[in-house]
Amino acid sequence: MRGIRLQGPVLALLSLVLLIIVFSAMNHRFFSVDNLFNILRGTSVLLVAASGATFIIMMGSIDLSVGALVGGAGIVAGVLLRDYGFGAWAIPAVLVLGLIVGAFSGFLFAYVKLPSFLVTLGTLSIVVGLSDVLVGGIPVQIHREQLYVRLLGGDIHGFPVISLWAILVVVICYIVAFRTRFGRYMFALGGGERVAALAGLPVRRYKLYAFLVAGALAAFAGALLAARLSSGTPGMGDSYLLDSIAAVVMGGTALSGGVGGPHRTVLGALIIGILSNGLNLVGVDPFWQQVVKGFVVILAVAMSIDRKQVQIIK
Amino acid sequence: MADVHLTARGITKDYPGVRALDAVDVDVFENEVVGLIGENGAGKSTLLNVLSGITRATHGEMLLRGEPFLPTGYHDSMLRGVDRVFQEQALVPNLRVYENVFLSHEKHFRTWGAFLDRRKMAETARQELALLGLDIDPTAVTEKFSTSTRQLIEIARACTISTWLGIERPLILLDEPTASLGGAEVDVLFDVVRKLKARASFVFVSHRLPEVLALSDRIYVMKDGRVVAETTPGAASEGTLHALMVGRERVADYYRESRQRTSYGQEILAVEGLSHGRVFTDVSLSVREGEIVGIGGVLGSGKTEVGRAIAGILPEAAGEIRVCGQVVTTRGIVEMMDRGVAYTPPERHTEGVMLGEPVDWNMSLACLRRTFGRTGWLDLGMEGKQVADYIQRLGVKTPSRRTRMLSLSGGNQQKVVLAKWLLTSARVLVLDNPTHGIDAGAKEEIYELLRGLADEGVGIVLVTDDLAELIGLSDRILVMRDGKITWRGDTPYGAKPSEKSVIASMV
Repeated sequence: MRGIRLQGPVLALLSLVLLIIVFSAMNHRFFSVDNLFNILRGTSVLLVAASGATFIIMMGSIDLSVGALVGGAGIVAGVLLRDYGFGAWAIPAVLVLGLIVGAFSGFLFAYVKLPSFLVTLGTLSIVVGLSDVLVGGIPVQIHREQLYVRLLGGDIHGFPVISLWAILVVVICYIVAFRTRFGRYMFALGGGERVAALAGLPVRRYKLYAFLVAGALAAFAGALLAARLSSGTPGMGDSYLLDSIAAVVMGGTALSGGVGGPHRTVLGALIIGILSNGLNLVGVDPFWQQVVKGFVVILAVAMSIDRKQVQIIK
Repeated sequence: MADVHLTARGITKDYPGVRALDAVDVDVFENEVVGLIGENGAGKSTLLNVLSGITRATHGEMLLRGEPFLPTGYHDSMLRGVDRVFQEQALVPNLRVYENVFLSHEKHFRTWGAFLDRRKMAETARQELALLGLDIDPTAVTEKFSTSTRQLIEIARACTISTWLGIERPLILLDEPTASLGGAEVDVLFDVVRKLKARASFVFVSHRLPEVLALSDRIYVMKDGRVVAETTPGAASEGTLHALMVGRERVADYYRESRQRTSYGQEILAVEGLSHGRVFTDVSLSVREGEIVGIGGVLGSGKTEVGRAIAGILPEAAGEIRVCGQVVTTRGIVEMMDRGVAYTPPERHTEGVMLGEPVDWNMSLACLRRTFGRTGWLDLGMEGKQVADYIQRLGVKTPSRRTRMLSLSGGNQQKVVLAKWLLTSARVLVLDNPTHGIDAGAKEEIYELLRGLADEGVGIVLVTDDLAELIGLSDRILVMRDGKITWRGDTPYGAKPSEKSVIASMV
């Protein structure tokens, strides 16, 4: 595919524009203010989860437990609201949960030096299992009038609040990635861990930090999702695993790490969001949507990955 | 008049924006060794790529024993009898030796349809290796063997495959085979090549001019994609070759010996009784401000590990290290950095630079902890200014400070590595093979830089495999063998010991 590979965000932007044009042509309701808000609303949770995943992938690692944590956090939020009357305090509580899970994965990865792929696979299982144990597999209802839901979900003059949260998260992540030492260290770990270690970087500590951040963000995404769906349903976070990794990679952050950033992930998440929204509007069966999404992801990754530089992906 | 084995005429290779080869004419006769030299970027590798089919020339033609030769790839050229032996060895480390020897040519040993007669493969491999004077077990796993042995295995592969394909006398392209080899290993390689000359022809690419003069029958000199000279060892010397390669007379003062200091400041680094198992024992040395202390020794002498211990990479080593008179109690990387000790590793690509990251991020890496990122928030303004400052000071040739490191030449990459540490205001530099794989012109620039640093009072520990560099650059040298220091001597300007006398203590 020599010559077709385009630099950085150009491909992602082009795809975005193409999708918008195609869907607008197929259904005139696509390009309306209402629908744009719908797209934003639908992409917000993914954006938050994928932002956390971005840091992990920038480092050259991977977090397979994202989806599990999104679902698990949402369920815990529901339980805290329904059974323990936490109210809005459920939000920070769930963030703490994310930190704990992140610390677990992060410690095993950074200090015990187990590969991230395997550690997070294990964490995935543990979190899903514990969530099931917690609610016995039965969804938890969350009442819409609660402060929790109004804080995270709801609209301000029609503009979805959930998207404001997502935008805030993205902006903060961008600033962290490019203007803080933590962010620069993430790129360094992905760009050359050995080089970074020789330059005095506390490698293990920062690997752990990355997982703490990713855990907290995945949990926040789960809290937002629960508010949006007004329930904590087992398995509701599952699709976010593939979607978050796809969003990161399609946006232009390489799986081998060292390049990219949260701003790229925005593009990737929007592509997925628009794809879902557009296919819905056009009336495509949800199951077929899965198939389409899979093909799109493969195509996008194939065109954006620099295969000459990829050494680890076999 | 010997017969022509391979002829290349008018070989031109264009890449977007760059003409890598410009109307190159080259001949290789039967049973000869043709040396190919040139600076990095002169086109040697590209020419070998064209000869071995890995790249196709934009213009030009090749004739192999009179027949048109246009290989479609590495495998195809091997089928025609042109074999490429790579610098980094194209052997699969976890396979057995005989499996590597016959890699992708296993079909000659098929029995019962899909099965392989492994015993026959191993036995054949053993015989072929013995012909080269290599007495090794063909059923052993390849990675167990040293780099030099693996190089020979790769040459054996070239000869063996040719035999089995029915090709009488192959053309073997040796791409910098001696880059990772020490003195004795190079001799073994040369013996093998000389022995094989009776049944093969060779193209020998190397940066080391004495070797090219020793082994070749004829020499081609390349510069900027062209062949600028064709000569023989009898008619050329290192000096003339160097001048042809670089385009200017080799400055007699290659190592800037005239800038060597005669007086030094206070003792800035002292090492006493440093030991680490059997790798090195009881190593002591001292470095004063402005002094360059060289450590030499063959592979396995322990000098690399001594360098690492001083840098704080081997905190388990026993002994004492004093910086500016103060004993360093915990000797980790960060602790030594804070005391002003900096280290440039020998493996530039894996330990020295982050290839995929831009120049400025590479340069500021060691300063993020203390300078640009002390509060956790990055001072991008200061970073930008200092990076620009050092790019200019060290003469780093780069389109911009955001350029990715892999676009820079080896010499410029190494300058960035040096800048990385100079930015930390290091007072002691431990350099391990700082000019490895860098062309002559860039080397001179780095020597100039190091002299300048010495003038400013920086103490330098120079660990290097390049004997001439060791003697030429250092004020004093230590030679190590099997983990112990076997010789210490002064190497003042005007009274440098000969390489012969120093080598005696190394082997």
